[in-house]
Amino acid sequence: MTLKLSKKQKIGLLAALAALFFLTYLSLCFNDNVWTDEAFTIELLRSDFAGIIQGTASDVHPPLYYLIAKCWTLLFGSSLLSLKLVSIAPMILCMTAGCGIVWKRFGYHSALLFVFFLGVIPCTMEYAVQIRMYSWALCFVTFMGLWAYEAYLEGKWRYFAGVALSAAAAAYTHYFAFVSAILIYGFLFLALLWRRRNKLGNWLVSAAVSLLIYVPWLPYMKIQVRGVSKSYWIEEITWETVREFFPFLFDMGIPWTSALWCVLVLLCAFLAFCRIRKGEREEGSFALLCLLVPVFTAVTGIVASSLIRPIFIVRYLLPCMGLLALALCVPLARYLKDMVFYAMLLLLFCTGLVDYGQSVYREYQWTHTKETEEFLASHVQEGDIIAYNYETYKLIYDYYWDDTQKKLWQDIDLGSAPYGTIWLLDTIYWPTPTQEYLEGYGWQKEYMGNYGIEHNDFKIYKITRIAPEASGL
Amino acid sequence: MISGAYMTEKKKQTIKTAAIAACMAAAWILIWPVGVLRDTLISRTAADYSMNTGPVGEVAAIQEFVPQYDRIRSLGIDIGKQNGAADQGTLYLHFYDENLHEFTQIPQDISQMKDGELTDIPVNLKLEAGKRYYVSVLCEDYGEAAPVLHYRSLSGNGPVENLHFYYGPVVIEDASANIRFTYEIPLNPAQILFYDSVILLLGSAALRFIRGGRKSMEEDETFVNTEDDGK
Repeated sequence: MTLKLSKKQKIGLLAALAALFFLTYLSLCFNDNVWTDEAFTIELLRSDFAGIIQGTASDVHPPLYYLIAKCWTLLFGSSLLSLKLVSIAPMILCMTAGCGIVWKRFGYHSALLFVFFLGVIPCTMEYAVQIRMYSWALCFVTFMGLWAYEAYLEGKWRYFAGVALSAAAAAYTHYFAFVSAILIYGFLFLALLWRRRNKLGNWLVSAAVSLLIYVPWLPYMKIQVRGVSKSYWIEEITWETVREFFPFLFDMGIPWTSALWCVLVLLCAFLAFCRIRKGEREEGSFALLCLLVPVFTAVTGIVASSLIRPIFIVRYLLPCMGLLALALCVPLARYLKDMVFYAMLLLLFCTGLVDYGQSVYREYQWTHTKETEEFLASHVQEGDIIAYNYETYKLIYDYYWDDTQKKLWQDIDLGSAPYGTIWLLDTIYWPTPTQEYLEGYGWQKEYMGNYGIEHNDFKIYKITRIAPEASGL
Repeated sequence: MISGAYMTEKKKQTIKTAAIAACMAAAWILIWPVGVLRDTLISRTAADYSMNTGPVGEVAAIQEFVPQYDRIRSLGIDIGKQNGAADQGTLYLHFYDENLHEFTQIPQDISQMKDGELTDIPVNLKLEAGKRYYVSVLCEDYGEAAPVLHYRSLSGNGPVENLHFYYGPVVIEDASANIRFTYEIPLNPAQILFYDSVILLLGSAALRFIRGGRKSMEEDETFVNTEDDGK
């Protein structure tokens, strides 16, 4: 069973697919819900470019994503939707420009599968709409992989230049994208050494250019590495942690999905071997190496964590997910034909549906943020203050209310507080003020209900002054 | 003329095709409407301060509850091990219907339970959503000390399943055992389609294989160009 399509129709199909994913991502952007790292990004983007460099240097990531996002906000504003679009853009770039390279090199089937896989690998949908650097890192690493293959096959300078720039961009975006970039450079070196020694000079120049571009950041990187070596929040990596990598990457919230994805990955590795054995050495090796990059990135992270201190968590593998999509699409497109190919497309479409259902739940139903915002918007009046008692969450609260609207509960002097009503967001991280304590200052509390922002639940108490006649004052 | 060997081969292939089609149909039916695979749903509670019951050795802690769905896969129970003194013995979950008839009990090794955190105990119970039940927590062979059960204020915290909470015969006002209900629920249409398409893929791959598809795989294309591909 064949389907006759003109080139225009093929382009149209790919464009429609990319547009469908764009709309899917877009529909996940209207929740007005940020988590700690996103709040950090938003806070950092309030600075100018120099402030962003300083701010990120004192954190643990390189600065490129923040600089891209800053440029974006100067053009399109800094609304939450605008910031989420910054993260969606590289995914769509991969699904269009990246897909074009895949089509040219591996054929239309591969291109179609590439777009589908990139969109439906379960972990990618969540991070495509997060105000973080992962989708950009994914984009740079994917392009680097594709251009490295072109550089190997064609040996042209422009591809080596592409490798140099994408490697530097990846390294400037996330340190584990940097690790992946080093691995790709390593694999390219070995491939050239083996089959195209006359191009080793190009490789050397490309690597030197990458390094040169990265030199300005090295002093900051050194400071960050020193800081992280002393203390970092990531917990020790155990076998249990490693086992949990797979559900993070592949779980779709229903039975056997992680296992199915793992079987698919192993099958693709086997098919890639088959391609090598059939004399299609380049394509088969490319698919296998695309698979080895995330594997070795994880191994590097685990080994570094055991040597220094825990510095690796599974989400640092997200930059490699474009390569995983390549590792899946190249062998499968070669062996799946007719009905089987259509069945694969249908499966990927259904996978997308399930992923989307999960994402909708995660983005819109998981937290009480909307109820909290609505409650406070309808109750807080001029002269009131929102008090919070969990200081760590200030970063997140900053997104919702500025410092004139909120104050740390511990800093409020009830004796002289000038507020009409205090709306206390009472978490379990600080003792709830008792009625007796409040009465001592002439205040009283009323429980308004359980609410929360992000994954931090709290009770809201309405704290008002006791009327003079009631208090006997 | 068509040879006998060809006919036999053709017949064999038809039988294999029919067998694969039958397996696929059976697998689809198992997914829906039989429902061998199910989704999970976890009851939602809010974070709050925890309080302790007395030891659940001689006296049971009892939670009255109304399940939201028919099947409970596991029950998360939060005990306190009294600074490690209560780390041995067996904790029993006794389940009673609304007429206080016990219909099952589930044992759990206390040493395998977390201290001050929820431990999911597999129960695999088929109940009736919307009806009232009781779960009693009581320990046996606990040695030096029995663990305590953690509970919280019911108002606003949930889970919505919980009603009255008792320590022995006494109701603790506005209290709710720190319990997590994990249900098994039917797959939604998208999830059913997902598994059905997995079966379709496997079935069509098997059909392709037995029809000798390997030979022709390299020649054919699923999407044929009607003009130059630009490659």
